[in-house]
Amino acid sequence: MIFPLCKRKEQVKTNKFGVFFFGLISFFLFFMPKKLFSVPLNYAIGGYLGIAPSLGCDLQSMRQYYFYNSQSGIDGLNRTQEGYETKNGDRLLGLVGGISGKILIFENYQFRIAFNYASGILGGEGTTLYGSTPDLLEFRYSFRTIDIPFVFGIVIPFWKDIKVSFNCGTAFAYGWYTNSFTENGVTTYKGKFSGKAFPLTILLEAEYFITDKLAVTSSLSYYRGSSKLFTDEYDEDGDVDYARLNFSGYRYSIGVMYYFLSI
Amino acid sequence: MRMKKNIFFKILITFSTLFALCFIWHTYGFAIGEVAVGLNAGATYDLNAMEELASRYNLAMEYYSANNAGTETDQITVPHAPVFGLNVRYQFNFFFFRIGYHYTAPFQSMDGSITPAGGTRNKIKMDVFQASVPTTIGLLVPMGSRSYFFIGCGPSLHHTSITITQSNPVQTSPDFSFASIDRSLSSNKRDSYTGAFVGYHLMIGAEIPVHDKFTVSVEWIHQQGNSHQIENDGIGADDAELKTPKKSINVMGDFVLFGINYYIVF
Amino acid sequence: MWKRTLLVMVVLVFAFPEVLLFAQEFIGIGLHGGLQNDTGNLSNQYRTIEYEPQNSALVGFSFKINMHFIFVRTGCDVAFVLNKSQIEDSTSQIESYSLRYVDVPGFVGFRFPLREVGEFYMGTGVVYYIGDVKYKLITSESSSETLAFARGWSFVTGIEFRIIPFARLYMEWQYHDSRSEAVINTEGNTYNDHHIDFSGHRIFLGAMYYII
Repeated sequence: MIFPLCKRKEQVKTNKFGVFFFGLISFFLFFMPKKLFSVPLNYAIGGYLGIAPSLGCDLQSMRQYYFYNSQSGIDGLNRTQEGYETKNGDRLLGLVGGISGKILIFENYQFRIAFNYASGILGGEGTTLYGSTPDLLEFRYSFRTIDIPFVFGIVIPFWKDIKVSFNCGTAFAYGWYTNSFTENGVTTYKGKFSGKAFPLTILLEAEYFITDKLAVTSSLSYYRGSSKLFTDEYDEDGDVDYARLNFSGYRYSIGVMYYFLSI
Repeated sequence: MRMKKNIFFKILITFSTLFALCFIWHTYGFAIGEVAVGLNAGATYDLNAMEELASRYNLAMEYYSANNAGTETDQITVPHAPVFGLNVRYQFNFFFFRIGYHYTAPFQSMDGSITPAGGTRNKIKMDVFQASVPTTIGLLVPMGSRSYFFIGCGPSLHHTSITITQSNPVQTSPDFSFASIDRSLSSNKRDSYTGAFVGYHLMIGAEIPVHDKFTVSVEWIHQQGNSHQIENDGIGADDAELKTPKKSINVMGDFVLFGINYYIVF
Repeated sequence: MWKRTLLVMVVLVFAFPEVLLFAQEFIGIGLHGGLQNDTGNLSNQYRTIEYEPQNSALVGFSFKINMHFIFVRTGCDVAFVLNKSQIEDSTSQIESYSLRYVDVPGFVGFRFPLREVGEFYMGTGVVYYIGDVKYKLITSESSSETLAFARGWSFVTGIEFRIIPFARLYMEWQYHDSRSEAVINTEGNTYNDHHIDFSGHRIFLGAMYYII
């Protein structure tokens, strides 16, 4: 079925709560009263690598829901039948890398900002069945995201060995999602989507100090939020699809953190 | 239902016994129990798991728009929602028992609209709120004087509501209704569900002192639970009162909370 | 990728021989019990389903090796059905559903010893599942049963308390992310369309005895 490439008036709804939270923390951070600089401050920067299972979550789109009868994106597309060479498509496993910086106040409070890049490296492709005949359908997905989480939390130091911090906040996340469906090896429909959202962010981080300035870190983070539906930017197949970018999911990272002042 | 209650109480008694036995080991000389009261505020996203339903309405709107030129759509967006609450906690050595109350409802409205070409604008609005009473049993790691990292779980009593209204859900010229696009969507003027039920939650958090008796805390609560089937307090497209379809409410979600706690010293 | 992950874990165990000598409570064996809500995660596959979710009780053991600030852990957990899923509408074609499974996790992560108190730990790993599903379709007169196999990823974070020398109490949260291939035909087509979803949160409470 060929959809007319209709233009519609797009009204962008800003996530007021996310912008407010982001703005408030930024205002507090960058316009702190001068006297606050007399309090004990410490600064740290670090880098890390990790994994993010289910990157992009179920990667649902309008074509999958209305044409291939999948209520749950890539999960619902997987079908098997004897006599057909199907291949199960797993959700994307993402590789995450990032750098972070933080300000510690009184040793017990911290503001942390980071820059992360995540990209699907495994999964996201398979062969399934659809329709009453049934026919073979090959599918392929990709998902990449950059995000800037901004969190505030409390830090519990344990002697000079360990710091455990629990942080909450929000993130500015921008993602790129592509999908491709080939029906019976003949007709291919492709979709390309990009957009932003402000997911809720939770970060549990623990640091083990190997020197008085250098620590090995382990962190578990959780993002919860997705964008609105975006229109397919790929025009050449004469088809229009719609999909949202879902930034929800867990990430586990290990890295190092360097403190500018001794702990 | 009775069997489920019995099994739940058996598990609760088993875990309580296990915790009680552990009270015997007074390895570390902490005070014989402390009571703290706290105030919390924070945020959550996708209250009552409405994002999935909003997404299906948005997909239906875009599907209709793609097949009917001249249609104007405005998608439903799911906002973050503030959470306010209070709690009372008793802790002894490594264990704590806590009972709390949280209330949350989004500040921003969850609404969207679709205007078929030559038709009337159908505005869809979703209103939700949730009040919950989580009861938590857990362990806390003392990392200093009134500095703790804690983990816990327990049941939560939820009182929650979902109301979906549409201004012009069924139109004849042009032919439009959500139910004709996606059978799982409603074409009623109002669908409203309110109920109370028990769910579950997990909690992880940390706490540090700011004063002799005051501490600040940060915590994450993950909750899950499905209500029983709730009767609809609805109005059909023809303005008739409706009791169907029945629907259960899913409270799966995550709360992040910042809190101030006051320790009562006896 | 799975083989490489297992290989890395094995290398970690043997790569720090000199550090092992410094670690007290080096090898531990634990027993634990846990709970899981919404086993099978039916609402992920059928977004409009109205149902009472299955709750499961888990019992298992773990085998842990501590190496300075790294730990490696494996074990086995068995999930028992506390109450079956009762589906209250017909959109999914399933009338009742229950999932029992056995999973074998392999975690690697960091541990943060808290001197005489215990430790805090956080890690990730791979998990293998064998699931046994009993289900009844609306169109069937009797129940059916099928096996499903899957592998997935998981996270663990928790705390351990030293109760007596060489024995600790631990409480932990695990999140698993895994789905099998389609093994059940629910829609009356010629193909299987329903997969078994092992994903979800679990909370565990257990005791660990360090033999070395």
